[in-house]
Formats: sequence, structure tokens, C-alpha cells
Amino acid sequence: MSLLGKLHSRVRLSIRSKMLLVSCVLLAIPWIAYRYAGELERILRENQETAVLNTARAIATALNDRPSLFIATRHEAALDGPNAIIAYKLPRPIALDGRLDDWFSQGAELRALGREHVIEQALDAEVAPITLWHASGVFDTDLYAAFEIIDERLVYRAATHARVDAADHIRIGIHTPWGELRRYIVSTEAPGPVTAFQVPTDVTGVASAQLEPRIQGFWQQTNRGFNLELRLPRALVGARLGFAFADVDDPDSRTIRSIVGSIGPEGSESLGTATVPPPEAAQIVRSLARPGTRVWIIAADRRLVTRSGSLRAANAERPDAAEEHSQGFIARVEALLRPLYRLVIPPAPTLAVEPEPYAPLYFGSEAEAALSGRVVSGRRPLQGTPIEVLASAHPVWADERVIGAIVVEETTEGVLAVRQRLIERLLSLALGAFFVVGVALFGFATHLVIRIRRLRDEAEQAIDSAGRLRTVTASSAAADEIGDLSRSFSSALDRLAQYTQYLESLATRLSHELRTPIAVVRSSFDNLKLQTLPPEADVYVARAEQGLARLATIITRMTEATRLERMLRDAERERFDVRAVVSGCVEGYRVAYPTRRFDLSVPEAPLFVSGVPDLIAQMLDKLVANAVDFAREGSAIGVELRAAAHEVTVTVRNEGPLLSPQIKQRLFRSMTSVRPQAPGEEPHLGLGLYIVQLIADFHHAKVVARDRTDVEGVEVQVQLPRLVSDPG
Amino acid sequence: MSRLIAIVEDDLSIRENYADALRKQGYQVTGYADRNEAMRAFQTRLPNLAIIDIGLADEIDGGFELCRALRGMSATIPIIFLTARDSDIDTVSGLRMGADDYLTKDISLPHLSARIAALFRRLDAAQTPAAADDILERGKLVVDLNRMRVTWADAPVDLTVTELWIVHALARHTGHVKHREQLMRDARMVVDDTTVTSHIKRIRRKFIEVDSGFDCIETVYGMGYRWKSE
Repeated sequence: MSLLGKLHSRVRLSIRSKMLLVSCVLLAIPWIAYRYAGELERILRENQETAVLNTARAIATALNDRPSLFIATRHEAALDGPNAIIAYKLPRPIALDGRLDDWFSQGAELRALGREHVIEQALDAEVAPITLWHASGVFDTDLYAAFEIIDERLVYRAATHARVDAADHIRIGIHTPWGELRRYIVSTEAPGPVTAFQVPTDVTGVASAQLEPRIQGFWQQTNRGFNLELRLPRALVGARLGFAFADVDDPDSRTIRSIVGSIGPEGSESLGTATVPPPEAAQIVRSLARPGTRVWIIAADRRLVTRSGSLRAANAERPDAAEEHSQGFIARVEALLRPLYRLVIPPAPTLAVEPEPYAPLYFGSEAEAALSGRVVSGRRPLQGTPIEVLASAHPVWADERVIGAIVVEETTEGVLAVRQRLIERLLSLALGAFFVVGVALFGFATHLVIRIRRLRDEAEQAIDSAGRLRTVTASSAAADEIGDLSRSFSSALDRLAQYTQYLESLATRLSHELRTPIAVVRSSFDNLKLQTLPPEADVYVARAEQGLARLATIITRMTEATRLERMLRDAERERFDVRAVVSGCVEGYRVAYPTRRFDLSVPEAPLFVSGVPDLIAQMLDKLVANAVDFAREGSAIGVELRAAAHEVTVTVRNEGPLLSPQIKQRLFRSMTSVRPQAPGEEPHLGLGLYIVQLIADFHHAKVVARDRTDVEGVEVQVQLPRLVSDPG
Repeated sequence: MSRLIAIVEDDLSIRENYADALRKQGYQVTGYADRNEAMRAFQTRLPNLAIIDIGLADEIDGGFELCRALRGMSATIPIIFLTARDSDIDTVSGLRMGADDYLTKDISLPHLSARIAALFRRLDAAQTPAAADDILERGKLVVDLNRMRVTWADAPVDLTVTELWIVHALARHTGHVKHREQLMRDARMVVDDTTVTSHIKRIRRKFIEVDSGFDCIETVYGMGYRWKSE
């Protein structure tokens, strides 16, 4: 047997389970959805790449042949080198509180001034122990500057020291619009609001510092050093501006150990250019860039002209964030199911922080390529997330010359979110479809199963224990295969019933047909006997008459059951004492079977049942005849009458052979006989127990034949319903 | 003058066998194969006794029709059904139609001739006074074997010959149980137990028609019947 066969024989699957299994094919839909989402993601990425590139191209095209935007800065950059200060155009004023987050939220970056900006250093000082970050911005009439100083030992101005520079301080150098060089120092005795001191330009004049109330600030100590925010009136600042940080580490000697910054100690020569990014460029970028896009404009010398936008801006328009607010039924169900989906599909990644927010220059390879005149696209992964940054770079041309490059960056966050949402939506639809189809299939299967079961039950009971046929009516009106099946069953049973009827009537008709020839033979013999026959003929006549007599008996027995059935149809029931019938009958059997012993057991009181006493007697006759036929030589036949609350049980027992298993089921059916035919005996047509069954049915009684448990033998029990009520 | 017996029977062999046997006993016998033939003959001359089969040629119940017609012609003529049909319904309908006896074809010729003789005797006895030794008296019951008549409390009980023999057999030995087989033998029937049962039932009914308090035939279950004296 094959493995499948074995499995099949062990696991019995109902039609319903099979249908449910089949409906599991629908679970392929989520898989298809997943594949589809992956494909869509690829397409979206490609589209996004194209879009990013197009944005870069559009911006580059807008900036083409406008070298002023680049050349102007380029010129000054050449003049000033790394000391140039970019002042961002701020959309909002900065709160002077020492916290730098409002800078970052407005897109400004801190620019680091490191080792190469060390201006002055004590001989014994460690190499660049301090770091200065700074940013500056413009709002309305004010120029703002922010500093983040990393310095492990902060030294504040002491009240005992008159010099304002005898502590950690920030130096500011300004070229005023009227051409005057001014120097300021910001130092403080304690963290908090500060005001700058104007100091004379010569070194010795520090002591004569005087307060400059137009330069306000806030000094905030941090765990790495301090932050300082300053506000200067724009009118004060001319073309040039510079900052420096002077570090004092020893609170006793209060000597300056190092100065870091874009300003020299001696004069205006080293001041950087205060550059406000060209507004046209920013405007162009703003008009062409999409949300979630970061645009870099890079000059040919790789200096950043401007940068705008944020990669995180796309967060605000996360598609599933919008989805969560929708009110549709499906959306609500999805919201319920989302935790479930989260178990299977990780959530779409979100960008927590703006990547590379402080980068002062764009050093990406795309920019390099663009500055060499090529249009390139690239992608780089963001560390720790599945999000990638797409970058497209496009050169900006002027007079056949590359004057700059546009780099447009976007993250794949949006695409991933769309993919996520798509998968969830498809998953919901697939689950919904699976549920609906599953329920429909289950319902349909149940409907089928119920019909098939009804048909099966009817088919099982189509032939009752007595061998009578019933018709199958389940589903007989349905115009489908099950209906056809039931009709086939019905017609097969009808034909079978006709055949059974034919067989049953055959006995009657046969006996009728045989009677006439028997009469012919008999009358012929009778006539023959009246003749004088030779003496040797007598023996043959006698034998012939014997044969005739047996034939006649056979005919009589053959019609007995039919006659009985006919009689039962119009028999009149009466109330009678079954005890009297049984006792009387047993008396008769003692006479009829003189060689047999009969053990009779009846209760004292009369037992009334409703029926025909003659029939009960006849039934008993058959049972006893049967018992006598099978009883062991010399054993007793037991006849017992027992009374229960609602029934009367007549039991006829004999010792002898057990019932053969194959006969048990059909013992009481017509034409069933288990006895061996002995020559010369009365013929057995197997009608005896059938008659018992007929009479029992008429009396609503139950007949059971079984092997005895006490000795080897058989007992037949007839349970008659008892008449309890007293007619009197 | 010998009596004329008509045999209406579609089977030639049986008809001839019976006819031969009866002729040997001194009866005049004419045989007819179907109802029309018989009717034509009866219209000319009525027989003294008719033996009729129920199924005649292609008429299933031809015998019944013939019986009815014959009874219409004469109220006294003895009619015997001799048929292969042994069902209760046929027996009852046959007797209701006025037949004097209903016999199945299992019967032997001597039995048949005994029945015929008995019927003729009853016919004759109606005219002659009864001989004392052929009269059985058990209380209200009187069985006159000469006249083949039964009376209960001086009222005649209209029994067939078979029934009369059964009553006679029972009443002869009051209190003795008669087995069905014995009764069959006495009544010269070759039928089964249930036929005896239905005969007894009919006999009881006929007595009850005369006397609603009649209760002399007792069933001894499993054994048979006995006549109970009042």
C-alpha cells in the first residue's frame, strides 16, 4: 500500500474538511500580494530615482548660465578660504536660551572649526583640546550666532579680575559697514544672559573694555563645555565677520592656552566673509524641490553654496499616518488587525533623525562626478535602518563650463511605507476573501453533507430488519446529482420491491397453480383405486399418495405466511391473559412432543395484553417447533413468561447449536432456514420465524434471538407491551 | 331416477376424473368447461347438485357469478365450491353467495363423495322424520345428522357441511379437547390450522346470531377446542 493510501485509510476526512483544505489554496493570495508589493516597491524606487534625477535636472537647468550665484561666492571664497561664514536666512527669530535645537529645526548646521583653525596655542597645551562649532543666521535686522564649545575645564570671569579676557571667552571681529574694525569679547562670571564687551583693537586695550549692549547673548553650560547664543544688529556687521574661542584652563594664572576660530588676534585681515546665501538660489530650490527632498548646491570648488530641505520632512506625510485617521470599515478592521500584521511584517522604518545634519560640505561621490560634468545617481544605505538615501547629482553649466553641481537627496522611506501599506491592504483583502469564500464553501459543504447524510440514512434504512423495502425520499425533488442519486436509489428500490413482491406472491401463485395438477393426480389415483389392480400395484399407489400428501403440505406451508399477513390485516384485537395462552400451549406441546421435557415458568397473576390470542399461540407454536428441532437430545425446552412494568417477556430456550453469525441478522426474514434438510421430514421453507416476526410486529412486540450465556444453546425473547390499566 | 350432478370445471382431466368417480357411485354427471356453457344447460334443466370451480377459463371469478345465478334459480339446490383457491376471503365470499360447502382441490374423491352424500341426505331429510339414533343432543344443541341440520334452543343454525362436522366432532365428546388435526379429519378437510381457526370463528358467530349468550366452544390455546356444556 502506498504511503498516501495508508494516510488515507487512517485519516478520515469529511467532505467539509476537504472543502476547507481546498479553500486553503486562497492563502496563496497573500503570497502573491507580497510578491506584488515587492515588485511595486521596485517600480516605485525606479520612479523615485527618476523623479530625484528630474528634480536635480530641473534645478540645475534653472541655475544654468547664472554663474553669478556661484562666481560671487567663489570669488570671496577664494579670498577668504575656510574662514567664510555662511549666515542662513532664518524663518523665525532664535530664542536666546543656550539651547541649539531651534537652529537645527530651522535647517541650520553647526560648522566645526577644528585643528586647522587654531590661531594661537600655548607651548605646553595639548593639541586641539577644544572644539568650536558655530552657526550663524539672519532674521530681519538681526544676525544670530550660535557656538557649541567643547572644553573640559571652564573658567569663568572672576570678580577680582578686571580683565574681561581673563576667562574662557568668545572673540568677535567685525568690519562695520563704515569700514571700522571692531573687536568684542564675550565672557561671563556665571552661566546665563551675557552682554559683549567692546575692546580696543590693540592688544593692550583689553583692560579698557566697555559694555556693548547691542550684542546680547546667553551662556549655557553643558556637560561637555558650553553653548553660547548671540544676537548682533545686522547694521553693525559689514562685509566681514569672524569668531574665535579663547580657552583659559588655569583659574590662577588665567593665561590663554589656545585660540580657535576664524579670526586672528591682530586684525581684520583674517576675518571671514559673512555670506548670506543668494536668495534666488534658495527660491529656485524651494520651488522645484519636493517635500522630503534635500538639495545641495555645490560650487565648483566643492564649497557648499546652500542646502535646503530636510530628508525628514517626508515624515509629516507618511501615508499610513494618514490612513490611521480614515473612518472606513476596512480601515478600522485593518487598524484592529495591524498588531497581527506586525507579527508577520515588520513596520515600515521611519527616519528618527536627520542624517548628516552638520555636514558642512558635501563630499559624496555623486557630487564629484557631477562636478566633472556627468549626471549620476546613487544610493547609500543609512546605517542601522533598511532605509536608503537616493542621491542624484547634476552639473550646472555656464559657457561650457561646470560652475557647480546640484545634489538632490531623498530617502526610500516613503516607498517603504507605501509598500507596507500595500501589503497590509492586500493582506486584509486576502483575509477577507479567504473568510468569505471559506464561509461560503463551508456552508455549501454543510448543505451538501446534510443532504448526503439524509440520503445515506434513508438508504441505510431502506430495507428494514424484516427485509421490507421503503422508498427513498431525501433530495428526490432536487435537480442535481444528489437528487439524481436519490431518484436512482428510489427506482432501484422500487424495482427491488416489485421483485420482492413477485417473489412473495410467487409462493401463493405457485401453490394455486400446483393445486390443479395435484388434484388431477389425486383424483386419477382415487379412480385407479376403485379399479381392481394387481396386488403389486398397491405399494406404488401408496408411495405415490405419500408423495402427493407431502406436495400438498408444501403447498399449504408456502401459502401460510401470505395467508397470515392477509389475516393480520383484518384481525380484531382483544384483551386477554397471555399467561393462560402460554400455559395452555405448553400443555399442548407436552402432548404433541411426548419425548420432550418442557420447563414452564409463569407468574402467579394474570398478565393482560392486547392482541389475538390465537396468533400468540401460533407464534409460540413456531418458536417451540424451532426450539424442538434444534434441541439437544434429552435436554429440556424452557418456556418462561416474565412480567415487567410495561412489558411481558416470553422466552423460549433450548440447548443445542449456537446461532451462526451470518444468520443472526436475517434470522427473522422470509425464506431463511438454517436446518439441514433431512429426507422424509416436513419441508422447511424458513417461514417459521418469519411468521413469528409478523405476529410480533402485529402485537408491537420485539423479537430477539441470541445465544444463551448459561449453557450452549439459543433463546428467543418476545417482548410484548403490557396492558396495565384494569378494564374494570 | 338417479340424481344429476353438474361439474363446472375448466380442467378436463379433473372434470373427467370426478365425473367418472361419481358416475361409478350411481350419479348422473354432466361436465361443463365454462360458465356460459353451464348456464345454457342450467336454463334447460337444473341439476340436483352443482360442483363449481371459481376460476373458469378466462373468468377469474366466473364460479362466483355462476353460483349467484344458480342460487337465483333455486334456493334449495346444493352448491359446492371445489377450487384451488384457499384464501379466507374466497371461502367467505363463496359461502356468502349461498354455497353449501367450500372445498379445496386437495380433497380426495372419497371425501368429496361423502360431502355430496351428506348434502343429498340433508335435502332428503327435510322431507322425512328424523331417526333417533342420528340425533345428537347436548343441552340446547341438537345436531341432526340425517337432515344435516343444527338447532340451538330450537332455532336453526345455518351451518355449512364442514362447519356441521366440526360442531358434531366437538359436541360428541363434551369437555374433550379436539386438536385441530382431529377436527380437520372429522370435518374431512385438508387445510391448515388457521383454516380451522377461521371455521371456528364463523361457527361461533353463527351461534351468537341465534343466541348472544352462546359460549360453548372454548379455545384451549395451543391444543385445540372443546365443547363446554352450559
